[in-house]
Amino acid sequence: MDGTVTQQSSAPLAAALTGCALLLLAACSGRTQAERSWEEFDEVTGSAVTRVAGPLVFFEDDPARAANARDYIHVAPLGVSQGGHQSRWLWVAIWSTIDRGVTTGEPAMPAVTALRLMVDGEPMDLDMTASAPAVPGVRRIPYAAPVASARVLFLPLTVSQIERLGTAGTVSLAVQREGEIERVWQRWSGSPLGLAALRSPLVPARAGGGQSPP
Amino acid sequence: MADPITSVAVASPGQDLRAWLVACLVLAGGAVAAGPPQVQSVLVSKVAGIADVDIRFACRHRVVIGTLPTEATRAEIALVRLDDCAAATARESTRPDGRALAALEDLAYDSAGGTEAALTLRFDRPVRFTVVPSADLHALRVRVEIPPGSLPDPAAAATPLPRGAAPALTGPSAAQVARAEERARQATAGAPAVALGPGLHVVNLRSSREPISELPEAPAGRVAYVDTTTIEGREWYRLRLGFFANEEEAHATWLTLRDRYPGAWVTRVPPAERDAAGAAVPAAVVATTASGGGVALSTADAEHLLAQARAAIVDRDYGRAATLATQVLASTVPAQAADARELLGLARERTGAAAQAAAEYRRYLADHPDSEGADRVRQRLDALVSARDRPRESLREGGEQPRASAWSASGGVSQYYRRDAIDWGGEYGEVDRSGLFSDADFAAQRRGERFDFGSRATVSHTLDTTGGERAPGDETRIYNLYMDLGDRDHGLSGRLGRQTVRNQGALGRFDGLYASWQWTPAWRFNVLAGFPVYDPDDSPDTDRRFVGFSIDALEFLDILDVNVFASFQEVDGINDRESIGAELRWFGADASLVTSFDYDFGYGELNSFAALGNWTVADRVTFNAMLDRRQAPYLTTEIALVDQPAGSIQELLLTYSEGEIRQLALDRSGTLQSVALGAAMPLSARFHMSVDLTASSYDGTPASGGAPETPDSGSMSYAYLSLIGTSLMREGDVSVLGLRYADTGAWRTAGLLLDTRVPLSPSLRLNPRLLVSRREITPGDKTELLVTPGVRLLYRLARRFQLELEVGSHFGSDETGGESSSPSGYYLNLGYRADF
Repeated sequence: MDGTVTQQSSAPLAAALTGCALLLLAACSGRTQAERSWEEFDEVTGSAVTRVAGPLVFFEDDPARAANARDYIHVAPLGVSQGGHQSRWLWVAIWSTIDRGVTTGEPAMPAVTALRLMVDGEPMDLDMTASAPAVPGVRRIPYAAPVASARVLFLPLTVSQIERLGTAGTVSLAVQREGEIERVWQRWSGSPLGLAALRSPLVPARAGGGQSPP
Repeated sequence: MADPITSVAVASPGQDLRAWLVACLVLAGGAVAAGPPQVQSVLVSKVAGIADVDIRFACRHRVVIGTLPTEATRAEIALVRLDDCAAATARESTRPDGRALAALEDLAYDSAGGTEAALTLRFDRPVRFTVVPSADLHALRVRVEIPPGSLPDPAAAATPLPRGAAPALTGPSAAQVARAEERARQATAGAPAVALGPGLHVVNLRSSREPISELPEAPAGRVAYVDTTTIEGREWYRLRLGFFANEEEAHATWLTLRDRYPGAWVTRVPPAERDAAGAAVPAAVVATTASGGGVALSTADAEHLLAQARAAIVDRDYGRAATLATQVLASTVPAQAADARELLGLARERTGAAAQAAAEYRRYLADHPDSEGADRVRQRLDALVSARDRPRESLREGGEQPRASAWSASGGVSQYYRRDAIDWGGEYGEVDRSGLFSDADFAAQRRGERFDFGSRATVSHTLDTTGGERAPGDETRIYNLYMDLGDRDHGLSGRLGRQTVRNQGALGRFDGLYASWQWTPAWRFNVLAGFPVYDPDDSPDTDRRFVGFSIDALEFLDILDVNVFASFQEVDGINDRESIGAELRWFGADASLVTSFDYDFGYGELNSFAALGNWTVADRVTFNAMLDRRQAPYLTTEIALVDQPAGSIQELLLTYSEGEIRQLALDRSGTLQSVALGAAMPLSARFHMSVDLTASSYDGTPASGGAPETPDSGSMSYAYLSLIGTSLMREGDVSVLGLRYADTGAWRTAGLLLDTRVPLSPSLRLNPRLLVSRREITPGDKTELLVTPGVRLLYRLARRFQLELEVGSHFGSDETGGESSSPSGYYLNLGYRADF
């Protein structure tokens, strides 16, 4: 036999284990939760705007077009107190990375005709008929639309809805677009849940049943 | 190359005998078969009205394009094949179990060789679909949305779920539907319409997927009612208390009820909901009945609303149609009541709310038995009830329904005659291969209350008609021949026979047992044992045996899917392989990473390490990268036989000691390292592009034991660029322009491929192809140029029978050491495929 004994090394095993460790580290990063809320006072209008850390982001994939082609909807609650009146809104920003005008000749993303929050798996209606393009008394919305072309609207929330959201373990979004069935969109994994922050700051007096709604 | 066919379908109980006769014939005879299947498995499941068709491949595939802008009955998905299977010709078809859930007729995989492949799904009705590739590129998911209102094919609806499929969560059970229908009937039959106050605020007390039968007593002036809504095709029932003039009033009531209904909340509802509640809720549940009998509408207004409702039906806006019809019904205009009731039933039916639709139709027939639409409505009602009485898609839902307990079987056969002749001239002479390739795949299964049984046989046979000394000869191969047994109550399952497992420490095909215990939904323990089969032409070889253990953990630490394994194999009584390893899979929102390793602690060698990452960036470009380091050939003691006159390890032990044999094995296995980068991106509405670059090297093996040295390969590089266009000539066509280049040091090759698949009619498809290849071979100073045009015709003679004809020619030039020749030839492929 004219072969020579090959030196056996443990380096490949170490490399494999290091790779696995890096994988774990990479996967663990980005798991943050924001459980705070902030209040901003507008001296011109005299309104106090309560916001949470950031919007919940929901999306629907369309990998048939491209792996990153998605429609997005950002939602975030908003509390407004002005002159003793309090109101609560859900800020909604609708946008897309699907260039429908190019890919299919469709003019734009189909209009969203209904939105519903799925709170712990159960549908919570949002009043689309009362949607508004702006909130009275609020000059500066504390949430930024992700792109300039995003369609922004505000839907009224009731105190009880805020309360329910504040105790929710999971929230997703059911979306109905024109000509389509209502579908549940996925929540973007990086967007904070932070729903516990919704409760007291946005419903300071109502949860106990004292103050009247506007 | 043989053309495998893998088909799985299901027959009714009445077909048991035929199914078993067929299965027995195959199991006993094994007379036909083909090459290794490219499509390893197809799993169909359905949740919330959306069906998923999960397709797993034998090797990695990248989805290049898979879209149709509108509803279609055919989905053609262009794929780029990676890894070793890129060179194999493959034409496969399958009719998977549970296909009716996705309205799927069949699924075909087709590649004429090279890196291009196409996956075609045919549906029995127009569907919307999206394609979701898996991160490890071994699978893809076709998500199918079946438009509401399209009734399933009765034969297909009887298809049970495949074993192991995700439970199909469909609508309420038959008993629940009946209860809901009865309540709806009671609620609507003879109950006076109740006019409610002007308020639109309600307290949503609770929501449920099950019909709500118990209505609480409402406070004075309020009404408790059940509102229904449909989300993703699934019905929700909401118990509500209304109606309040404003949020403040509703909030005050909510405060008193929140302990009893902790998930309650207040919202404002559309007027139609209030009107519908007033029209449909029996007066008994209203403590205080408001005065009045309905909303005042003029006849013209009612007609206008009905016209809008009809338009909404046409536009598939069934929710709006129902709202408008309800407004008319709640009005004081009786003339349009019949039409409104029918439209309301139709809207309910189209949204999948069968119980409500049936109730509306029955109410129609009760109120308007002699109207001109009565026969029509009666037919609608009969069709609705008949459809509901057919076997349901979900065989087990909440343990309420008895499971189907019947044998089912399916299969498919194909036969192709192929001839490929080319005359290279000079010393190479004429090469002429011809043969009849026959393939068959049969499956039988029985689903019981507790136990599931299944079996499958996939065989191929090649009848070589080449003739002459160089003819390869006839060949029969058995790819699958196994039985499955599952015990759902204890989470146990087992597969016995010839089967293929490509992870968990198994090296592929083996004859033996694979058993699993599903401890919890996230944890599964597996054991594998048997005799490895390196060639499907081989009969079971008991001289080589292995045993392995593995654990699957899903969402381990909430972020990873993990499989760890240990495997031990021996050959002729000495250790062949002692291995541990793992596979870890992480999937993020726009990135993923899959890594695996296999370490042979007996040899102290890392047999393989691979990492595959995918990353999608916002500009619609998908990148992937792969790092692969492996021993080639895979390190086992048995590879010591390479270049040895001995035919077995037992014989080799007569010459060498076990230690020397193990050293020989080490010497025969070199290290292959590869790095690959790829990207895919849409260029425009009709064009996509993908590019793949690969660099690799092989470090060679030393001479030992009489075996020659394998030199270091140096660096080798490969590049492939493909441009894919869709609907360029006709709707649904797919065209591919592929450019490839490879430089291995010993040879360089450049190629161009043009391939177009054009649907000429629903049953006829034309597939012209052109391949131009130029190769420079350094040893011998040889240059080849080969042009291969061809055309393929696919004709679907019947729903489950397809004919295929492919013809083409070869021509070009060959220059070797200053001498030139002109090779020429032709090829022919003619055959059929039948599924049953």
